[in-house]
Amino acid sequence: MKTLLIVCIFSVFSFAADAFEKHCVLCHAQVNVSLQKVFMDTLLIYGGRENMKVGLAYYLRNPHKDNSVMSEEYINKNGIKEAISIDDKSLNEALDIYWRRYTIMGKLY
Amino acid sequence: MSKSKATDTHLSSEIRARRLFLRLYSLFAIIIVSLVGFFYFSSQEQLMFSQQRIKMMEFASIQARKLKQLHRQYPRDKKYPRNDRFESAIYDLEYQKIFSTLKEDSVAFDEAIYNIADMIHLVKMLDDYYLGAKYLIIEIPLDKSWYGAIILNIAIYGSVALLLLMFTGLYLARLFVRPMRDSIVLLDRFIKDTTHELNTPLSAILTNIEMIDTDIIDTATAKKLNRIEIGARTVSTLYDDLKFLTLEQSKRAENENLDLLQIVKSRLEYFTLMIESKKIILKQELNPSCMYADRRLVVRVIDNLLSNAIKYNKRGGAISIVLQKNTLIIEDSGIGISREKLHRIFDRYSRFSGSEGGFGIGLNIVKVIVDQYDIDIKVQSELGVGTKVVLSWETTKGDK
Repeated sequence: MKTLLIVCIFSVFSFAADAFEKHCVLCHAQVNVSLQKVFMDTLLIYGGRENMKVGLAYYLRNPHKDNSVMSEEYINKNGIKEAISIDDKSLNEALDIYWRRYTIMGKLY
Repeated sequence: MSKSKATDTHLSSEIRARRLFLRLYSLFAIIIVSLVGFFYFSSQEQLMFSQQRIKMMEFASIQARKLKQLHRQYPRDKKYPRNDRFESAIYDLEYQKIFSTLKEDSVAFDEAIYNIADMIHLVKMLDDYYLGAKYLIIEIPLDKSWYGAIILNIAIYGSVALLLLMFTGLYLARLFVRPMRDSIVLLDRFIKDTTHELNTPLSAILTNIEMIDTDIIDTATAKKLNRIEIGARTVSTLYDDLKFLTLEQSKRAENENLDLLQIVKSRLEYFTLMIESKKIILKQELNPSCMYADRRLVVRVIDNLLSNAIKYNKRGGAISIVLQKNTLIIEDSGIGISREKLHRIFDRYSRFSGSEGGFGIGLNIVKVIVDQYDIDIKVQSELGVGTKVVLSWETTKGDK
């Protein structure tokens, strides 16, 4: 049943979702890591939008514990993710959507 | 060209030199005082900033701690931390504004602390990018009482310094032009002494020439005698000018109603020999005219203008004399004066031709006298063409 649900979700995201939903949200849902939490940790290290996009893109292509924003405890438990194998355009689009969705700009009051 | 009555013809070169020096000196004094004022203001501003900086750095630390807390609590808490004592803003490393409560939104990221529109901004770079912020700006209002006190200090001390510098300048100006004044005074004294010695021999020459019976001497001797008489009269005119300058200038004028037609005719007769010797064509248009003035002074004016018209004329040239009611025009076809030198023709000891002798006092005397009687004088001249002098005066109640 669980496998069927995952397959269904995967199928829906594959055909209908944007690059971020397709390449990021699905995997993070599986490993139960909050994308908001990862965004805030990444923001703390990289600061601005462009710097963050470059840093994240490099990490996703070359994942290593030295350039990961995850805690050492998490890495020891779950290991390092595998390198992403999507084209540059899709990766760039996914990262843009990620920034727009979680950015702090315009959300403080 | 006409010169105003206010023109100081006496020692004008000294006055010009002193004015030029004082003008330059004043300019430098103002620049120096302004620079000192500017540096004093800058140093006081830096002192004020360094005092404010300590306080603002404390505010920045408080704000940074609160940003750290908000970063951890986001997105449960989205309220930007505020403080009554200061305003603040956060920008990311790409200078994009994340949030701001600043009253003056313009930020200079390359300066640590600065004053803008009555506000002081402190720019603090954060080590960790909490909420993505690289730059934290703290803003407090500028204490204007400081500003007023500094400006008052600059105005008071600047004015005192400027006054002291100006007094020093006046003293220096007197010191610098003293050699020039001394030489002019020396020249005046020399002329005064020489004038005394000229009178007796000159009178003897002129009297003896007049006593010679020209009917009994041959033509060649008569010609020589004419030349001696012309020379003696030239020296006599010069003597009259020198006497006026050194002895008679301060004498009280004895004004009377003058028949200018008779005076002009008489002076033309006096200069006839000189006019004839240079074969100058004399054109006259003489009408009755009068003036209420001192005969002695009017004769000096006419003599000097006629003497110049003859002296600086070419051989076979022309002189035109027009006398009308309230106007006397003397025009010559002489060497003329260049436009650049024309404004200095009334200066004492100014000479514009090396070919003729003289002290350069004739037109100075003319100017002194015409100013005394409110007579307007206009001089038009063109180099190589000639000079035209126009005297015009108003009818006064003393005139006939």
